[in-house]
Amino acid sequence: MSQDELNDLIDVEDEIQDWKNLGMPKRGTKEFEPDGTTFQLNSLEDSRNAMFNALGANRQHHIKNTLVGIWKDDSNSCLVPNAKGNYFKDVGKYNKLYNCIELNPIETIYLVERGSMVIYLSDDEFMDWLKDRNMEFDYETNLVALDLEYLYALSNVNFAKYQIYAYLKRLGYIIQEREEIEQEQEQEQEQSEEHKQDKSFTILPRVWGILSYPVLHSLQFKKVHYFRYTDVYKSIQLNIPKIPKKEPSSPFHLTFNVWKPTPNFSKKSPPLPDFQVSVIDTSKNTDFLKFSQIQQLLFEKTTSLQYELKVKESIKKKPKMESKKEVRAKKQAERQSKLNESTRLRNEYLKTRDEVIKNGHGNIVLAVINNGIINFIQLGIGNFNMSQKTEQVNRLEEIYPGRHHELIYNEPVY
Amino acid sequence: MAKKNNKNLNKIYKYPLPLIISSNSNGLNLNLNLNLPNLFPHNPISWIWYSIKLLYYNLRYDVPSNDDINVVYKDGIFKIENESSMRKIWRMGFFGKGVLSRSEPTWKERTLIRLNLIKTDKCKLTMEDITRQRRAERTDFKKKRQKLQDLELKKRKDEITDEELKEMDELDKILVEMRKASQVGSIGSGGSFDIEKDEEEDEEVEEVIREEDSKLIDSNGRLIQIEYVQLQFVETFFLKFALNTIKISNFANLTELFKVCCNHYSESNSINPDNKFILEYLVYHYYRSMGWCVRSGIKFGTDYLLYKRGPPFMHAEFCLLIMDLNSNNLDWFQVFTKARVVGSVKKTLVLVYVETPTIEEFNQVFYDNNEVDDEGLKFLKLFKLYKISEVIYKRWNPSRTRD
Repeated sequence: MSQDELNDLIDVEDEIQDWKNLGMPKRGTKEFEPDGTTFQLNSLEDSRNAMFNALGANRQHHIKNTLVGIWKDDSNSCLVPNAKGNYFKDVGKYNKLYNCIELNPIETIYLVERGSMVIYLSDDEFMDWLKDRNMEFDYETNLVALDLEYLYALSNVNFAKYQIYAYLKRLGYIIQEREEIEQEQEQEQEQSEEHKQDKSFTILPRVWGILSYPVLHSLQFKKVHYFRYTDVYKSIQLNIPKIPKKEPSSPFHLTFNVWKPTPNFSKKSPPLPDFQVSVIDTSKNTDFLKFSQIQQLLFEKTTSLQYELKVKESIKKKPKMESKKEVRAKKQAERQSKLNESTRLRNEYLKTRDEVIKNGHGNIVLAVINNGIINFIQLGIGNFNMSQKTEQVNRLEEIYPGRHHELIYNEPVY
Repeated sequence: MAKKNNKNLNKIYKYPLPLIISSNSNGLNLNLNLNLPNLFPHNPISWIWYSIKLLYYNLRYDVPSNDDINVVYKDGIFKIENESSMRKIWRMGFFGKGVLSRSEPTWKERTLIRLNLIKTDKCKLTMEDITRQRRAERTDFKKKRQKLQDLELKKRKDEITDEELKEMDELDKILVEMRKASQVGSIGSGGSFDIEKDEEEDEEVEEVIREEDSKLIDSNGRLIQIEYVQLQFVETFFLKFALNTIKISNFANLTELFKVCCNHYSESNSINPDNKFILEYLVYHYYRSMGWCVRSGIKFGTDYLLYKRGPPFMHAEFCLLIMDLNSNNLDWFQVFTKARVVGSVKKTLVLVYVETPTIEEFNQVFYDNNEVDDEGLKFLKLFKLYKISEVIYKRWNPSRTRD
């Protein structure tokens, strides 16, 4: 294994936070071990002190910026009469009846836990005030303040779900709970491969009576001339169809829509989520998903097609900073543009084909949580045989029409 | 270096399947002429030309014969014992495993070199040698790195001498070079080992052939081949059913072979549609027929590995795990374990699900001998009752996909 691969094995998450953020080596845990030198001891001490200082500092905010939420126990939600700050880009929903933002329990706990919101318990007086709001309301004297413990007890929150939400939110993702199962979704259109076989050139002469042995006949390779291995492969393909969708007895559902951090996210008309996440709590049941459950989850996933119908064209501005990935892609494109047309197309073909095979289609994320420990995985339906005509598969057909794109054997030119 | 190496490999592993096709049939020696003209669907003249050519080939030439590989079924093992067949089955599609080698049957070659029975100026490295060489390089690298780290510690403790400082500098440079070299080198490349190899050989010349080795040599002074190739059950069935390129003397027909393969997994005489052999075979055939080189994935705790061309060219890209469609045969921990192993060797895990027909549907095709006259067609019909879906499994690391 090369050094590179070894480095890749060291998880970014496994890195120890370096509170001093200077001087100390960044990667791996070994460097943090005391090695008997005062230099190392001092580094460790400095780092530890930096951490204590960072954690020990008093967190303050201006009284004017205090964010106040009122817990409404009958609806298991939190009302924010005066929403301010940066949090409401993806958090909360507008409640028409009370003319204010309403938070679900997960969002409420998240904001309170990170110390960004003070929360009180609602009473009749407050609810009356909320209707006209013609004067100032002093929460502190009129309402009971809730501490975090009390809030946890009151709110009816699925803790596994909350942990995933908080984890992704702290990493900077934009995340929203999905609404209960949406509109009917179109059945995926699996195109039958049955007829394809008959078009094969090796079969046609049989119709004229020259070759009379069908594929996989035991005498096939004894009596039929083959001139390319591509034709041999084609002739032995069984064209086995994909397994049709069945209703699972206990379905799982997608829980969250997740977007990469973007400056112009709009709650009203969100773009297609970058990730669609299902929370799976394995604390009690450790059985792996059944295939029908995976199919159900993938079926539930919102696709770009449905999105275009649902959401009005939301203008997506490009972020100013280019990510490393984009820079790399740009360089790659530049290099490609220097090649001649047929080589460029061939490279694009091979790259796209690899991507189709490797990524499949319809990816979903499963956040598998076991007693607070989270493992994220991504599942997609494999498309090795290219029977699902995705955009990428269509592109392959555009580049080399008529070719069997699932055949990864490349016939050399003899 | 890598490119030159590849060219050589392309020559050795020119054919993807152990099947001589008409365009590369040696007997005819007409390689260039024996290709069909291009066919353009919208051009009727090309159709006529195509069919004339085809008719000509069929009358003029026989289809190359393809059943020179003998497979024996002995003690529950499918064996290929003939030396040229062994080579052929490996070189044309990478089937089977040499029982005394890692995969390619190289025991004889290695032993010839070990016992100094052939003279070679530049001995050909087998896969086993390459691995050993790479490991030696890696150990050497680690040793040097440890030395450097020790010196660094000394420096921090302020106990370092000027000489050691110099040594440290040099070590640092060497390690940088070594790192670079290991990144460039792919399979089968390596530089610094040649010298060590020569030294070893010099020592061996003086060695006398040991008694146990002398038993390997016949009265004419030739090395006896004691290695054979063992085929997996799925490989054997594929070679017989799909390509019909092997002869198995033990079985009168394909159905008998099929029954033996199925009974390998279940003792009962009746074959159920969810027999493990059938599921394994369908998955094997499915990927083989798309041009993948399918090998056992047992080393990674999975059912199969998929290579794009074959082991000498590139590492396997996918690990396949055949899953039970209707019950949870694995729990999350087992799946995570496998996925973690597969991920750490830079492969992608694919869960493969197979839907089976009902026993009635299965029996109707399997036991009805009247409807189809050919065995191959019967199995084609049988296998068409099944359905296959794949799920691609990947780990998601949210701290990496953010931007």
